[in-house]
Amino acid sequence: MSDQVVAIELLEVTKSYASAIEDQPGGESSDEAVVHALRGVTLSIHAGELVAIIGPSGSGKSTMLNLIGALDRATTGTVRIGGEDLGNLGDGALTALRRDRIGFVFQFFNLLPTLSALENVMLPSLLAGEKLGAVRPRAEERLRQVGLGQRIGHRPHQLSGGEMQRVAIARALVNDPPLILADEPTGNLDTRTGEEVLELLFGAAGARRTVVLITHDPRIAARASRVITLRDGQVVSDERSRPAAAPAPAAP
Amino acid sequence: MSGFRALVRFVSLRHLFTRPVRSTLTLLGVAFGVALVIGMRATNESVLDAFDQLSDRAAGKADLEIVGDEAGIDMSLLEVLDDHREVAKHFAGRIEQTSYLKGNGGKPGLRVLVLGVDFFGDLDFLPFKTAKGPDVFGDAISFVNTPGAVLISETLARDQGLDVGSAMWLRTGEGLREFKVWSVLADDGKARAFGGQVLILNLDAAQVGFVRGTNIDRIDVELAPGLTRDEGRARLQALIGDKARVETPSKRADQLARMTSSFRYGMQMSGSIAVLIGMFLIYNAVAVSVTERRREIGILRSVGVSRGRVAGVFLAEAAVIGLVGSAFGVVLGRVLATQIVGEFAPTVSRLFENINAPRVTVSRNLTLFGLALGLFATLGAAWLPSREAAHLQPVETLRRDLHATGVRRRSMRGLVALSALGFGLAAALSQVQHLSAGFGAGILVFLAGVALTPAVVSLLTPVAAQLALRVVGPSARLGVENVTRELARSSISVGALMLAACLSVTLSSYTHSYEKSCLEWIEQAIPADMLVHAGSPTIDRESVAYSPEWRSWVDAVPGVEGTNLIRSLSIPWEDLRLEVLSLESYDYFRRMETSEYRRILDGPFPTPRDALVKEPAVLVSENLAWKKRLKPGDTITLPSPTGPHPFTIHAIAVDYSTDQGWLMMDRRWTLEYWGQEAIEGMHVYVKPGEDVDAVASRVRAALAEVAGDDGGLFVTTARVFKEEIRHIIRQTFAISKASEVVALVVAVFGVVGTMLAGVLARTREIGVLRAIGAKRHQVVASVVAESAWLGFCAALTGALVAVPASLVFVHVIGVQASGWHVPFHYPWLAALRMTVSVIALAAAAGFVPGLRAARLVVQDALAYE
Repeated sequence: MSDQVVAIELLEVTKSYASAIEDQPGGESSDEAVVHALRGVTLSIHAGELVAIIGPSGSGKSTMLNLIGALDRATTGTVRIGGEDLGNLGDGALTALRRDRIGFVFQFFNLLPTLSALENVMLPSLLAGEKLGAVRPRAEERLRQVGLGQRIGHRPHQLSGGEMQRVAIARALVNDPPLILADEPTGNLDTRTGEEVLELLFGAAGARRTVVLITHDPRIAARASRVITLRDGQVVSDERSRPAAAPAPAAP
Repeated sequence: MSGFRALVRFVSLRHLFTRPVRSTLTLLGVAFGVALVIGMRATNESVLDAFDQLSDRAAGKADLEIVGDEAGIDMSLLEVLDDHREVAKHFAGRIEQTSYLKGNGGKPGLRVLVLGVDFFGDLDFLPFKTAKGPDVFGDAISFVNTPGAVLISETLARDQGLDVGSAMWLRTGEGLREFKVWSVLADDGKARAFGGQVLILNLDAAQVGFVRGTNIDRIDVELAPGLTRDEGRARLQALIGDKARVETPSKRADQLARMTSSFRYGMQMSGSIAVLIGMFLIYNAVAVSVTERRREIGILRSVGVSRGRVAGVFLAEAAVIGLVGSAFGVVLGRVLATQIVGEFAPTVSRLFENINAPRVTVSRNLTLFGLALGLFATLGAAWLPSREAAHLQPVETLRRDLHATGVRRRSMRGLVALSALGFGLAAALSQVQHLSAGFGAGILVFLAGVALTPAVVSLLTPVAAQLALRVVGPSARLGVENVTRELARSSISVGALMLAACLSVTLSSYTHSYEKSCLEWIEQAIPADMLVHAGSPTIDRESVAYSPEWRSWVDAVPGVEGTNLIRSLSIPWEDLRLEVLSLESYDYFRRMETSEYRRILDGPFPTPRDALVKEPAVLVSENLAWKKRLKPGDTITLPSPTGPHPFTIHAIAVDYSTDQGWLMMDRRWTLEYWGQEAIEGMHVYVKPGEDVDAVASRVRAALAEVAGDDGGLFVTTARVFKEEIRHIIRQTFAISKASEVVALVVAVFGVVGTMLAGVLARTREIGVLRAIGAKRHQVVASVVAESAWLGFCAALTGALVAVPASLVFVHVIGVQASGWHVPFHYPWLAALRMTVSVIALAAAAGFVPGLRAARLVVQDALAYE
């Protein structure tokens, strides 16, 4: 923990969903039941931390990531990112927050298939209204940093899984956000490629940047500086182990 | 089988209900397509039924009719028949004329069928029954000897509030004249002709009233027992020689049906294109359904559902949409037909035969046809995508990454080759001198255009995407690029929209080309300042002949420099019904000498003033010359009440008054051979410097004084007359316009469906966009840009393909249908208007799906499979 500035703060956060349950056996009528995905979670993550969130399926990992990523709102409680209470922000402000202060890395890469690697990386900045000429050098630099300087014109279908995930990381980093959220970033990659991707992600964490990743894999979690375990929507353990496993060879 | 029922119940039907908007749009597409075809067919059937009514009911129980041309036949033929009762057991001559009846007691005036009947002839085989008042058939003498006595049908009495003894005002050749109702006839037999609006005069009164001289229009004949129709016709024709023709009553309806066939054929074609667009819509809907349900198909196949049943699932969905849609379409078609008949019947009345607005019915056969058409078109369109669904490998459905579909380069090359083949075949078919070949060529051009559309989209999209990026932003670029990315799916929508756009421009081009030529002709070929007509503002089937004595009243009006007497005769000749325009040709050609318009296409020009006077000679229209291979110097022999007379063809001239064929002759010959004193119009020339409108008012006032001012008399300045012609031309194409709009609406439904499907297919991608910072309005902009670009590609291709399509329509179909060779004019303004409309409609069609995309919950969208 290199800094005591709080990057993410959750106070008594709950998240509930109304879930349709089909009657059996006909399956014709339905009723609604409430599913409590998070039950009063309170935690703080400091700037520069590399946090792994683990837990079994249905434990609330993805829900927590959605709340931290300003993709969803808490049912009760407070979520603060960089001191800003997300509950007070409208849709436009949440969109701007995601664009400027958060980078996402998804399990299935989620690159836009019609765009080249470079264009995919430039997209968040262009959506923010930046000029093409200003964004391009920065995006090229990010691609070089993830080792894809020679493949900037390739489209997703011309890239391997690992390369696509590297492009996704470059896209997450292009606006230099203080927070990177990664949801099972190696879940769709082989071990060696997954390792390379993790190196990049862990390398991205640093004094100013917090990385939160969701994983099922205890070995990956073990390499994080802090491991939060969720079960049934509650934090069952919160362990700080050691500093990030690897230095940042390509840290921006 | 029960397994399949379960599949249909739990998979097919449920899917339809989970996509209510798209299911409804597809259903409406089928409904509109079927409605248009049913509407057109019901209109056709109603108009043909009106033709039948006109001939059958008016002819009563007659076996045969003896008919002449519009000038009629001489009454002396009745004496010939009287001497040969062994052939004609019963017979009765009659006059048949439509005219204008002034509304009674403030009611609007209307057109009525006036029958002039010989009450002293054999009437026992003609079904008349007196419903109210004295039985005229028991005691005809009093009726015949009472001037102004008329019989009217019960329908007319009811509609106009008339009763026995009521006074009524009817337009005759002598002006508006008063008549008195003698009796009311039961609505039966003849009294039901012309929608029941029938009025009967004694034959003599009708001859005088409608300036027929001693002529009658037709003689109804009941043959002597033992004679077949063919035998009877042969013997009667031998008896009367070439002074008239012997026909069966139904022949008239057949002739009318034939005359209007190209008109009705065109109408059917427009309807068929709407069904074709509807089929595109179905194909698209099922193809989209297959794409978005790949996983479902994989699961079904994994749990042991056979390929056949997978195809059956999709076909069952299509069948439900087809049946419900076509049932709705049949109902809608009846409503549409009622509207179309309202437009179509007046056009038919003016151009072909005077019919009353027919009642629209959709027969049981037509209903079954509509249902079958909807069902089979739907199943046909759904067949290919259903087959594709059946052949999907389960493993193919497991991919989760965002991927582009697109059209393979090979498929694209194949489509371009197919398109080239289509255009080539169309060019070859255009050389075949037949109307059906022309229509075939037209359809081929449309289909070749559809096949070309994906290539145009692929070619233009990269440039458009860069432009969209620079002008609007990255969201617009993404939208534009999606069109090619999902080309396999969107090309069907683009194709359907292209077809609608192309149809629109082609019809505009067709109309525009004819309108331009017609207007130039009307502008130049009639040098008069003013026209005087009765019954109709133009000389057509609604005109009423009037006395040439009116000339002296018009000539006496201050400001009038001179007049020319016009008469139009409709003369059956070979398989055509020629329009003969009779005028004072010396005066006409003298006035035309100052005009620069070259009306003569082949023959001496300028036409010598006495060319048509000194010997029997005629000008022949270009279309008649083309149809019958006539040239200057040839002879054309025309039938007349005084026997056939040969006329030398002096020249071939421009004329667009009828697609059957037109001749101009001098008044001398119509007087001499046809005995026609009566006129149907007068060209009026105003003295130089006089105000035409002021002189027209004076002429109107002068004529009203002597001929009545009921509105049945038209004194029209050349400017207004030309407007009227323009209106008639537009009215003639109004139905095509309606089908064009329906085709466009159906195609736009397709775009909405495609965009909704596109949003669904790209749910996760939209989630990503929102996650990385795209604002809601940027998502809307992306979807709207996509649909607008789709619209632009369709409009552009449509406007381009409309060039060859219009050439086929104007130079092949138009020539084959009418014989007119009009110069081709591309309707730039209409094409521009259509392009803007299609882009705007397509963009609007993308708005709702765009909003739906913008409202997606981001984390749900990201989790969407």
